[in-house]
Amino acid sequence: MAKLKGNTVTNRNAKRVIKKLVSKAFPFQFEFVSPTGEQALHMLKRKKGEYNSATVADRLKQLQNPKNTKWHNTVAKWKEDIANGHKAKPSRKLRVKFAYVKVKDIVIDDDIQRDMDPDWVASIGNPAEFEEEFMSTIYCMYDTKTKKYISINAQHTLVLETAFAANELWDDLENFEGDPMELEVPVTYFPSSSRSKCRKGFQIFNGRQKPIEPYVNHKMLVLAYRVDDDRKDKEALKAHVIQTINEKHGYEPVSKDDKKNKKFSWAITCVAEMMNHYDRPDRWEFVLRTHKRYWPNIQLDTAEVDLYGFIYDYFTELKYDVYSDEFNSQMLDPCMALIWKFFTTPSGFKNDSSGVQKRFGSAKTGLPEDKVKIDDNGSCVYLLKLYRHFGGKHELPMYVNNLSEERIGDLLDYVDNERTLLVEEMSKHGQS
Amino acid sequence: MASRKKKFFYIILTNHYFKVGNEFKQRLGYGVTDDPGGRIRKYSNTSGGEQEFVKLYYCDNYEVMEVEKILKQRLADDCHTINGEEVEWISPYSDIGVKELTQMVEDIIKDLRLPVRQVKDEYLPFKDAEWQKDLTRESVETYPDQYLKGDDS
Repeated sequence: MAKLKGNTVTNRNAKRVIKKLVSKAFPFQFEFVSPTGEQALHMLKRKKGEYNSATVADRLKQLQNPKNTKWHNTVAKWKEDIANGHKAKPSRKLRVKFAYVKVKDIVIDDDIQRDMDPDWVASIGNPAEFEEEFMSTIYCMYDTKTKKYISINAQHTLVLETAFAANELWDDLENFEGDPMELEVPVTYFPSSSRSKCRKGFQIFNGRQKPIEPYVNHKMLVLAYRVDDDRKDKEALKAHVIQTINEKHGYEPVSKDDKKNKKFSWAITCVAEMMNHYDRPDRWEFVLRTHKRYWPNIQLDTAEVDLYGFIYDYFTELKYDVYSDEFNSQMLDPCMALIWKFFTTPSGFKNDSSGVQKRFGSAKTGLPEDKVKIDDNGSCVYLLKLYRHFGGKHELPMYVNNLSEERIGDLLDYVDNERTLLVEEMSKHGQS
Repeated sequence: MASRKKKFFYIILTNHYFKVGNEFKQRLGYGVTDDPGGRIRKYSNTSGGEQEFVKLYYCDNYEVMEVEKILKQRLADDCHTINGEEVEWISPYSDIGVKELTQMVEDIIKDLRLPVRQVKDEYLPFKDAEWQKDLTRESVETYPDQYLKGDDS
């Protein structure tokens, strides 16, 4: 079997004989399928200075697509409530206003905002990351009775801004006269005297944010490297390297909101798992290559990332050339044949593997199956065990002996009895 | 506990119509089940009218569950949403009809190179009528050729 230099390699003829014997011995063959030839749309393949933009009119048109039923139901509800007199039309006059306000005119009510965290003030003032332009405006309610601004959000920014003044760190102070309380800060406010409105404001400003999905972070980093020509950000370089591998193999990560593209087999939807490989581009390339070789017409599944990733880790550690024809024919082809024959796809394999590991874990710990935690490499170990059971002859890592205990038996004793095809074939070909 | 693994895949076209803009449209959907009779009765009971599966597929080794998963991915842009949540129905604004959906399912089956077989036309549309009651998981497992089209049909 082909090992990398420094390890024993049998001569070519002997290898051919072994290969023939091994392929004969393994009872299942993987049937390869031709790729449909779908061409990936490489949305991040851009040059320096090449920006894409959309107008608000474009976005409005997108929103008005009849498919967006939630949006159309919302508009219909508004119209119905206004027509029935249940609601007044929203007033343009009640939109927030902007002002520069002296710090002494702002009140932080501790029954509205959280306690101040001095460490958080220090964090946002960290000189390694601090940029003036990213300081938030201060959100307030202007109490029309007391003529004070009640702070709703961004108290830490407000305190930092004032503390910079107290420490004479600002360069170009105006209207200041040496007293930090005289400092003017940018305030976004709405006029009201209702404290309950204040409290609601605090919850809305702090709680209702659309989380940033991993794709957006990846895209930002790639574009920082490629379009903005940023050569200082190390993460941007790593993102560019991973993205280059994707493009080389004809894949492209997509946003979970990108309904037009996420249906294609070239779309990578497990972006978080991809980003976990920023420091392991070699591992990611093996994952993509292996997926492309065996499952070219379906999407890369999260199940494959760990499965192929661990195979890569274990066999490169054993010094095998995981891209060699020998490794393909003796190790990967039989393993994929098992997945295909008994579990249809890697995703089906992962679901089954999870059940097998939970039954094993439950027997081991006495916990109910739904409380059992499964190992990250559990699916890989399960596959290696199946490979060995069905007569696979390739050298295996020691991990194949994991998930086996004298008291409760081996993981393979916990295969799903409803999988009759697997159970029958296991009893026919049993070698473990 | 009922098994979460399923052996039948179905395509359903509702017998009732939904008002979509100024038009009336049937809803096209799909899913997997282990009990076609029980599933179609549920659709009928909850919709207040008889429903039927226009197509049914069967496999021994639960392959239809992966067919469903891949189909769901490929329908990402044609998926209906209810209150913002994606559901296993085709959007009434999609161009996909029974013929196109059937073709998509068969393309996936062909690509997976696995023995997923169609239920014979004489049992379709399946509405769990008196003459269809014997089409169950157990009977199809025992007498597959009685209920299923040949592998190459």
